[in-house]
Amino acid sequence: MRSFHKIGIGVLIGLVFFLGYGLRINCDNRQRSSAVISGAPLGGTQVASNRLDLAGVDIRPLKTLYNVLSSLREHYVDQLTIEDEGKMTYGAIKAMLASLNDPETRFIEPDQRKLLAEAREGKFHGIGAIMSIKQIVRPPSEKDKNKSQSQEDKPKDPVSEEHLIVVSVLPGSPAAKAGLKPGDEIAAINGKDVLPFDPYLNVSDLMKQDSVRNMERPQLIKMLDTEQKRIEDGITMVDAEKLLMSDSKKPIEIKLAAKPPAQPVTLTIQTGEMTLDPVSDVRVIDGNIGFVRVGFFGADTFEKFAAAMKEMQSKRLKGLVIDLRGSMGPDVLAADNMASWFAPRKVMSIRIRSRGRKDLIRIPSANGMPWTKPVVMLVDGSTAKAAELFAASLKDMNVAKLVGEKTFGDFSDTTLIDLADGSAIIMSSGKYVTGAGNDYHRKGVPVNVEASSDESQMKEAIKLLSGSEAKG
Amino acid sequence: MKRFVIYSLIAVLAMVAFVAGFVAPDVRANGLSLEKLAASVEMMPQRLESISGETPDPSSRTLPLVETYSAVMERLKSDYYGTKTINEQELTYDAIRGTLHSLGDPYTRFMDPESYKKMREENEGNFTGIGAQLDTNKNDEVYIKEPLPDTPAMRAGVKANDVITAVDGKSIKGMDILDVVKLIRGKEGSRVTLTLRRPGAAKPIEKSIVRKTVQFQMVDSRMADEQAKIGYVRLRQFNEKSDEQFDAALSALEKKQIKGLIFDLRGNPGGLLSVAVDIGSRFIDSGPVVIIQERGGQKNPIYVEEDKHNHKRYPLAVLVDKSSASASEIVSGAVKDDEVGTLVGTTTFGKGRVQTILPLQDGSAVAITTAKYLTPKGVDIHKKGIEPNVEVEAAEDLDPTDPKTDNQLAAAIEVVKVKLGMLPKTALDKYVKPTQTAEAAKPSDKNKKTGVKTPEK
Repeated sequence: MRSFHKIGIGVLIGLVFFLGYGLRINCDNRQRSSAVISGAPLGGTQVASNRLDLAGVDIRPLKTLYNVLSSLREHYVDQLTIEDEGKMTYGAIKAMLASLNDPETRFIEPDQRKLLAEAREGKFHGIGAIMSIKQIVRPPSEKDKNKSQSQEDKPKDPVSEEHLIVVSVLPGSPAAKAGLKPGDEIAAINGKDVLPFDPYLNVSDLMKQDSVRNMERPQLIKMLDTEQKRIEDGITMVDAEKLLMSDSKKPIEIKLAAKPPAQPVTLTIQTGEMTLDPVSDVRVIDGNIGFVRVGFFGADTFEKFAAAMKEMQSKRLKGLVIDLRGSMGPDVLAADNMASWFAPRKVMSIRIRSRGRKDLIRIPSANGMPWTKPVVMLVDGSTAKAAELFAASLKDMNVAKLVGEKTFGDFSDTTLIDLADGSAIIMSSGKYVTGAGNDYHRKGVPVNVEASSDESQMKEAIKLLSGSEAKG
Repeated sequence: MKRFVIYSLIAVLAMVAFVAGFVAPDVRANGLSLEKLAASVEMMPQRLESISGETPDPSSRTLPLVETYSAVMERLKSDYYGTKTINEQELTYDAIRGTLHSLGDPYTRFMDPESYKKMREENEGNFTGIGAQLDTNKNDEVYIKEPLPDTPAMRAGVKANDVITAVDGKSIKGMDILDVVKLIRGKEGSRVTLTLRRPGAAKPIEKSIVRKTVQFQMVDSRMADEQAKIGYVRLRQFNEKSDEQFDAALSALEKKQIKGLIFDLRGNPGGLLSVAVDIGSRFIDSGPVVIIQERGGQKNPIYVEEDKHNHKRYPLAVLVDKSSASASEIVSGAVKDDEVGTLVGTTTFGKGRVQTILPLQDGSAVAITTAKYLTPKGVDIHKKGIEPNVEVEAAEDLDPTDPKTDNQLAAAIEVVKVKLGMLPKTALDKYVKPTQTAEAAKPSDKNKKTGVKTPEK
């Protein structure tokens, strides 16, 4: 117990450090939009000169964590090493972010962070598919329903289960060659079940079923043992991600979830490296209609799009088709800039942030001559993120008509925060609605003309641009 | 508390504890956070400006824990946008869980205030309530399985098979048994009113009962074999009441002139170290019960307590299985090393680490592995377990509530009978594994061929 008094004193001194540190970071953030948290060592001298107002600051959680760390350093059966300390920090931050149960808010280890930077340049690793973790809310079981009726307990959060879903398959990638399709759910990798965030969800669900509760004991043990083994042999989504993004050049065996009545399918896909061209297939179709494919919204997309537009404007065209099928990418700024040909200085979107904050995002002035002819955009279920915002905003402004299928529905805004050792966190920081105020997040953007095959999509696009109703 | 309620409940619930508690004793509580650490392959979700500038130069420097935590927390508080609001306490608890989990030791773990309270209750061996075992019947109704002797329930005239229909006038229809238990529990001296439906009674019966401190029943005892006069004591857990209850149970059996004893530690997950030494002292004459080895390697033997030597020694068999852990292994390890009894059953769990509980200011606590323990002969059984002297797998249809189906108990009775000279030694030959004899035979064959003599035992 005596050691605890010591810890108590240590905490108070420690707290002053930490609070000062936290405040400093906050100030930094207000000045710069770039949010780099550095782990600079704490200077003891600056504490005395920094007068901090402790009122209203909840120091308890910090104190608790500090105490745990001190206790471990002092009492743990093995002397903690530098590696242990590093692992503990990763463990703490990972678990803390996982606590939010939000697939978009997570910790990224340094090697993954590098891949992320490369992805902005259009360079992809692994099987060549973009994945998303989808949370599907489970219906409450009968037992739970009874519970909530008979108790005054606050209603529990709905139980959701995570699924690993293919959003988009990069053209020409090993995944595309193997026949992986957007919408496929990955159930197992190399024979290991992909586990949801709470792998015991299934067990607790099973235990609520009367048929299971009334099972004979040996049978029950057997069933639970099987379930335990399945979990122990399973693969977490973190590891699944690493495998799917690996450069190992080894084939990966992917089992897709069954789509009844069909049987589950198993594909073997080679991993590798590929670079995606953001703007491609720039040509003239049907005599006098321009066609530009924007496959990816990344670092140099705007520049390449500008070149394509220049080429288009040099020709006498009656309309333009922008192909956004399967297109995505992080670069919302590229989308803002690209919109300057079609709706200069208008409000592209509104970013909704926490605590009621809103940012108006305005399209810059035209980059040369604006495009005045009608525009059709081809979209599908894997048109997502920046591509989707681009399509939605221009559709809402009546600048473009959408042909194809309803888009994916990811209008989230996330912020990447780099940490000093090369790791980072990604955090959900808001969502975009279009300048017209329409919220398509998790809903997708409906199209003007539905068409599912490539042939019919092209036909409808040409029809729109040739018909009299398609005036820009 | 869970374990105590569970043993009086349905077998199914016990099985949940079995899976969570035995196969991976703490993995679930800690594992949750780790398993939640999924990240999507979705790789490009940020606005440009947030990653403007160069990718930082990854240095080999490790991130300081508390500072990083604090910085991330500040960012979340100012800018996180999601369906959940930032609950600083919840996030911190998970950060602590993640910290402890990363050490890779399932026994170094965090307990939030509620689980710490439950643990203390378990260790004290008391709870405040009315003292009745509850169960669920076929119609999913909660009923009194048994009022415990000398408890408020017994004195109020609550009878076995009374169905509880309401607690304090509130219907409990459809409620989970664990929630009913929560309603019945309360502060010492307060009143709870049960509405009961008694089989054969026309009207519902109301009983107003004053809650008192009731001891968990840690010990079961009976005669295992009336004719051979072999007593049986089962210990469920090592808590502050265990030694006292064990002493009482053994005294009661002694009144029946037992000649041999079976001590059952199957399914016993352990408990307090000091109580393991108390119970161990009841079987060991002298020397250490266990040796504690802290960081740095210094060995501190804990010697038997001679004031626990108030009973005769009996020919002894100790029943163990793969869920006999921790304190159970201290006792069975000492019994085996000192050859004061025969271990019967299957290899034990293999937990050879001691945790120290450090309470934190907000009512939560951490259990930190602070030492190893070794058996009296200096063996570290961690992750290995203790092999029984007589190996007997549990029969497929073994029902712990029905001794007739208990083949391990039957073997233990035979072991004690052999010790008492009531059976020939050969009676135990059937428990020797055929593979073991084959292996034992092989080297001697080889030795014969090569002409090497094996020393006689």
